[in-house]
Amino acid sequence: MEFDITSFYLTLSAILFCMGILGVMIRRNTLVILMCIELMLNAVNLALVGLAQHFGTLDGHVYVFFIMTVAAAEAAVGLAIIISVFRNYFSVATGDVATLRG
Amino acid sequence: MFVAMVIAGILTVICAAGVIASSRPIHSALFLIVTLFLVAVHFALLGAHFVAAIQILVYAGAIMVLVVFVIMLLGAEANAEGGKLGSWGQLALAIVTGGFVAVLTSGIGKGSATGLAKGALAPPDGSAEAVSLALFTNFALPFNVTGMLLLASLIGSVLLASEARRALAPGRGLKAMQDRYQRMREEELEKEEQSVGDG
Repeated sequence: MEFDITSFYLTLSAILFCMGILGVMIRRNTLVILMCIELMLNAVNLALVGLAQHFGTLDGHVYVFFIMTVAAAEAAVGLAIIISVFRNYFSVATGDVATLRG
Repeated sequence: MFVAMVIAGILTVICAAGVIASSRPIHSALFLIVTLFLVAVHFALLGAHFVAAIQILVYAGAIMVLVVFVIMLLGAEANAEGGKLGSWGQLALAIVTGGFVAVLTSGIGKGSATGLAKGALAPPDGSAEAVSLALFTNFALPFNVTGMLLLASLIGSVLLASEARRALAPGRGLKAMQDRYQRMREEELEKEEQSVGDG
């Protein structure tokens, strides 16, 4: 069977994305959940670059650039929120932040 | 080339598994750094040289340094994992995720778009010159909007994480925080003493 680069990278991207989803679901530590979100964003970037290579256009590379910028902003705000939560609850576990529970 | 792609792909999946399976966040972060480097390798193999360089500089450099910094800042409490899922729950989630992978990959290689140009089109020139030309001509407006987004997130994160604003409010300053922490520790010690006494 011929090695198809596009199929290979789309499959790899799907696997990485699902591992990110699995991480968000099974982990209870907000820091790790944030890292898993970064993993999912990277999977999407991989798919975009693979498809840019497939179609021979440069648009995918530009989208990846924008996604990286948004990811940087998201990481900065997310980590600031984690620090803020830690200041009030002395914990970064999701189960410990349950003030709104009835 | 293909061999390098497959080897890097397998390593990427292994390191991604390390990210979600490590019990300590710092190990997860180190695995994620390796994963991001490997994704940069994939970008370079696909001819996206500018994106590969940005990936290493921004992701593996800036973002991961920030994450590791926060893990170190929070100290031992950053290891808190809260309630753990039972083995049945983990098994169910693994099955659901495997099904999701199957659904996502089922259509790959079957559509007309994939059969459109197998190697017919030349891969794009992913050099810094070509990408920046596209950024500053066709994508000039999104590029500027991104600058505004970064400014807003910068101000937002400074506001969220700053101590100065909270220190003014009663019961929110560093001293009050230390007092509360001390009280929590004492309560825990009392509980432990009670349980020891009961036993």
